[in-house]
Amino acid sequence: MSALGKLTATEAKLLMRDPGTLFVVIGIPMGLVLVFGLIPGMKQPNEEFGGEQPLSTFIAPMAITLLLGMLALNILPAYLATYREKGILRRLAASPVHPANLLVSQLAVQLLSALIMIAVVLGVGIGALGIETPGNPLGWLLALVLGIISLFSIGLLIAAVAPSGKVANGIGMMVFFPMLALGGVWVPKERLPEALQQVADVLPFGATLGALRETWAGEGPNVLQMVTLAVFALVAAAAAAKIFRWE
Amino acid sequence: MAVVEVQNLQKRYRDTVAVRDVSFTVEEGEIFGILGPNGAGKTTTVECIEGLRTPDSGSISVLGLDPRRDTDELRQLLGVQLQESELPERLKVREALELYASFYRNPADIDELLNDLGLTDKRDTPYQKLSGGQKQRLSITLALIGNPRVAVLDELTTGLDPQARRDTWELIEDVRRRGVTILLVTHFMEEAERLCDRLALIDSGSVVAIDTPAGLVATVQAEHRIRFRPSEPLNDELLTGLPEVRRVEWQQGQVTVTGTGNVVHEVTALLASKHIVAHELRVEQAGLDDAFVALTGRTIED
Repeated sequence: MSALGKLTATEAKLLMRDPGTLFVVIGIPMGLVLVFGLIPGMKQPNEEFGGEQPLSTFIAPMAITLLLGMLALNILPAYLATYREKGILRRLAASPVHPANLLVSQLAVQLLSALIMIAVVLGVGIGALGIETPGNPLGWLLALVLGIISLFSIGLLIAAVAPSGKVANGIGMMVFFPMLALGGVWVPKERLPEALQQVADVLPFGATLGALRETWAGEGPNVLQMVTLAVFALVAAAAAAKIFRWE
Repeated sequence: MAVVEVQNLQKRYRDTVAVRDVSFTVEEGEIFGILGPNGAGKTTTVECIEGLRTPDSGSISVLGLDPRRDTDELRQLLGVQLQESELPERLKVREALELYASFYRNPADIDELLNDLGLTDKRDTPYQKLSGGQKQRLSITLALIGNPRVAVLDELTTGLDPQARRDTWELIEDVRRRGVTILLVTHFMEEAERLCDRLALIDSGSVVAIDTPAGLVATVQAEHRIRFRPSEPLNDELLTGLPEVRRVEWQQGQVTVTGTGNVVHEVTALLASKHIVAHELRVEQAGLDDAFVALTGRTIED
C-alpha cells in the first residue's frame, strides 16, 4: 500500500477509536432526523414552511449542514492543530513522507465520514421516515458539493491559524455558533428579521443550509448562495495554503 | 570515512543568532555527541543536518548528500529522534511501526526491533498508555525502523528516571553495534561521558572544543585530589618532589595530595615503589563538567 493509503487507513482507524467524534458524527444527524421523523406533524405540509413538509425541507437539510459544520469547523481543525502541536507533523517531516500526506488523509477520512453519514441520513430518512427526495436533485448536489468545499476550506484555515488543538476548538466554536444563529438553524431563515435573512445567505453555513432547503423543495439554487460558497471556498483555501505551517 | 560533515554552519532566527559558527565531522560507526547548555544551538544544528531547517550559510554533507537538495534520499538513510515529538494518542505501538515501516524502501523487521527495544509486551498498547521510558524507546524504534546508516538522537533521556536512562544508554550502545553511526545531542555530562567516542562542546552557537571525553578532561588544567592514610610514615618531600604535585596537606594522619595531569599515576607509582599501602584511598578527578567550566567560564546548568 502507498504511504498515503496507509496513512488514510490509519487515520480512519483512529477516528473509529474516538468516541467523542463518533458521537457527534453519528449522533447529531441521526438524532435529528429520528426524533423529528417520529413527530407526525413534521411530515404534513406546513403553511409556515411555504406549504412544504418541514421534515424534508428543514430538518433533513439541517441535519446534513450541522454534520458538515461540526466535521469541517470543529473536528478537522482540532485534529490537525493537535497533530501540529504534538509534533506529529514534524516527526513525519523527518521521514520520507511529507506531512502534507497526513493532511490529505485526514481530510479524506473526514469527507468520507461526512458522505457516509449523508448517505445513511438519506437512506433511513427516505426509506423509513418519509423524507422526500430532493425536488431539484442537480441543484441539491451542487449545493452540497459547494457547501462541503466551502466549510472544509474554512476548517483548514482554522487549522492553519490555531497553534493548538484547544485553540482550534475554541475558534471552531466561535465560528460555528454565530453561524448557527445567523444561518437559520435556531430560527428558520424565513422567521429571521428581514436584515438577518440577507446575512444568512452570505455566510457559508447559512448559504449551505438555505441552498439545501430550497433545492430540496424543488427550487433552483439561489445564485447569491452559490457565489457566497464559492467565494468563501476560494478565499479560505488560499489563505489556509499561505498560512499553514507544519510546526 | 566522514559520514557527517558540517562546515561553518550559521543560522539565525530574526534577531537571535542560534548557530554562530559550528564545524565538525562525524566518522562512520562512532557515537558523536553534541554537548552544551540549553539554548546553545544544539537542536538547530541537528535540524539543519536533518534537512528540517535551511542554514543561512555554511555547508553540510550527510553520507555525501546535501540535506536541502537531496532531501528524499537523505530521509531514507537518516533516522531521526526528535525532541518532544509525540504520536496520536490512540495509535498502538505496532501500528505506529507498521505505518512508518511503509515509508521506507528497506525497512527493519518490526518484530525483531520490538524485541530488541523491549517493547514486545507493549505492541498493542495505545501511545497514550505508555510510560515516559516506553515512549522514548518507541521514538528510538521509529528512528531505526528505516534501517538508517546514521541516526540523530536529540535529548533522548530527558525526563527519564535514572534506571530508564541507564537502560536507554545500553540500548544506544546496541544500536551502534548494528553499525549505525550516531549523532547524539545532550546536555547531560554523564550521558556524554558514558556514551560518546567524541564530543563537540557547543556554547552560545559556537564550537568550544572537539575531542574525546577523556581528551576534553585532560585539556583542563583542573586539579586532582588524592586522599589516603599511608600504612607507613611518608616523607612530604617524596611527594612534593614529584613534578605534577602542587600541594601536600596532612590532617589526622591522612594526607591529601593535590596536583595536575598525571598526578594520580605518579603518586600511586611512588607508593608502590616504597611498598606503602594507601588505606581509605579516594581520588577526586576532574570530569567533563570541570572541562566545561574551564572552557566556557560557566557551568552547563546556567
